[in-house]
Amino acid sequence: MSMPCIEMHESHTGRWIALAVLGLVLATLLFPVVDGLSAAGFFGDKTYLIILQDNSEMRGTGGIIALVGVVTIHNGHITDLRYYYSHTSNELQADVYLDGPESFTTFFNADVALLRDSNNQYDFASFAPKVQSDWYTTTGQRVDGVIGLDFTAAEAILNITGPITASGDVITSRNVFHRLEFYSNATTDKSGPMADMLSKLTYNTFALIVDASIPQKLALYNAFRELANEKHLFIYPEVGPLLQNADGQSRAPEADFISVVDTNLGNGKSDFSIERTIDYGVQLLPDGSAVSNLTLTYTNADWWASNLFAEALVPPGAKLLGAYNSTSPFRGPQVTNDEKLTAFSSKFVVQPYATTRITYLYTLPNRVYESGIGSHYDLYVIKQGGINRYILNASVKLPAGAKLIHAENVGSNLTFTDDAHVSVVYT
Amino acid sequence: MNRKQLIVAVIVILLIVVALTASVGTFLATAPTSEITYNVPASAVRAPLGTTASSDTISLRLNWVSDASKPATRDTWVKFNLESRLYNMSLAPPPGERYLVANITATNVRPTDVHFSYTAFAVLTPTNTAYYANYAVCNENCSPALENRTLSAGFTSDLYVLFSVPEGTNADNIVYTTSEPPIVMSLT
Repeated sequence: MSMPCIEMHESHTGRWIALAVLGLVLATLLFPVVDGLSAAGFFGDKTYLIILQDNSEMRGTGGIIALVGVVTIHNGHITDLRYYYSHTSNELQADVYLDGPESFTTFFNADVALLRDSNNQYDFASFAPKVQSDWYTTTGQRVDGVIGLDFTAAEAILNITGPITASGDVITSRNVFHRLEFYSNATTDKSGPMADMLSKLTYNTFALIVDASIPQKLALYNAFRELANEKHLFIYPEVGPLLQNADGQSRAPEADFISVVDTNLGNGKSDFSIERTIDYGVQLLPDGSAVSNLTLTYTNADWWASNLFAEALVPPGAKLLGAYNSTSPFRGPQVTNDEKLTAFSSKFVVQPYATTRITYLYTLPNRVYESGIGSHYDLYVIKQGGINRYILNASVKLPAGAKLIHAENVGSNLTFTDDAHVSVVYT
Repeated sequence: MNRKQLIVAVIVILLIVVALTASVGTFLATAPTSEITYNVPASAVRAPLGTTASSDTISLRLNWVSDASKPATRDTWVKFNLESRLYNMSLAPPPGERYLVANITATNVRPTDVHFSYTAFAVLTPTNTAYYANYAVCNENCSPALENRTLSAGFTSDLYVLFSVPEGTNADNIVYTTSEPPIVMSLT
């Protein structure tokens, strides 16, 4: 008599487990949807700042600010959209305090900048909350988040939406960059046609998000995901798991890392034509510490000189042994430290059709970690937002007598459009 | 798995494949293309290389077309880019692209100001794919006309118009699309 009871009990347990699993699956599927719906204004209007960064003229977060828009979304549709042109709008000419980073403010002895020129942080996620606050202080308008995109993203989005016609001009993915540059640099106010072009692009993109077929939505999502991975598109704060890490935060785990943050000081619009190469050689020592040799190479394919300020961010505790520039004079290096990083900062000029190199030789505290298999060394190369690509040459010398088990991304001429992970395991 | 179950499984897999194919097909059929087709209207006026053709407001003559990577073309571009004083345009095209520079003489044929914009120029291929102009430069006196999109009475000047086209593009015409009628200039 007891057997059926036990069977029933097991059956109920099974049902509860099945229901729980089903609940978990549904929750996993629904949370991103709820997040997405909330961000799209389905549970109350949402207002976002749109920051268009010109990544042909680098700033810390991905490019000089060309235009700022404010968009309000209700049930997935734009109900209000206004663009502010960097050079003419009073809002963007307002002075704001710089809250760092120390490597920048110390080098230039500056603690105030125009709002349109205040994106000198190491990443977009550090800039976004500050610009939200500065925007409120300047205009009295609160925004729920900040969307950042650069000219590379504008090209990619036009590839999806197809060409647009704005102010009588046909805008395609091929000419959008030069059209934006023309409007940005015209001696007479071109804020009207520039805002018209960006408004058309914004409306078309939102229309595509809302009205496209499911395969098109997937294509759009993939494009946004790729742009976010390559740091040409930022959404702050994060919109759930669907666009995870799209806030542009530099996330370097406890390991060795390199993050090069460039600022183009010459108003030169030259960064699309500068090839960047990172040569990194590290000698691992038996006690787990390391000696690193980092060379940053800039090759200018343009016909004018480029004036660059480069902040090389490496792990905290790094000690600079020497800095060399074999190709041209430079100002620096300045060394600044905090609990998260060490910054080596230098300013130099890359002449037309020429190459400039700067080398930092430094020691690192323990960057090798032990596990059951052996000793692990990991290097994370954090790509700066807005940079299209870079070349990585990485070499790792093991301690004397060590035997290599596994190596990843060690070698020459590795081209990356996003962050890179170099990994070595040895015994 | 018995025979019945196998048949059901095969049918389900086939249905999934058909659904996926249909989805991809729908996407390919509806995805916007980044390329533009421009069909030259029958009313267009045509001019071979080195000859002039006129519309209601302007006349145009295509003098030459050259790859921006050639040193002489590059030097010419740099000279006029500097004179235009707007912004320095890089002559290093993105991967997979090449830059073409066209030297075009533009003249206002009316006794009054006329609207004119370099953005209305497009390179045409034999299959009517159009690549609209990226930028244009000219000498110091002419540059305000390009920026303000207005040619004053009596205006005539050489323009250097830059187009970004995919590598391997076989261009055969340049068209000025917004005049009445459009002006089509042959590269030969």
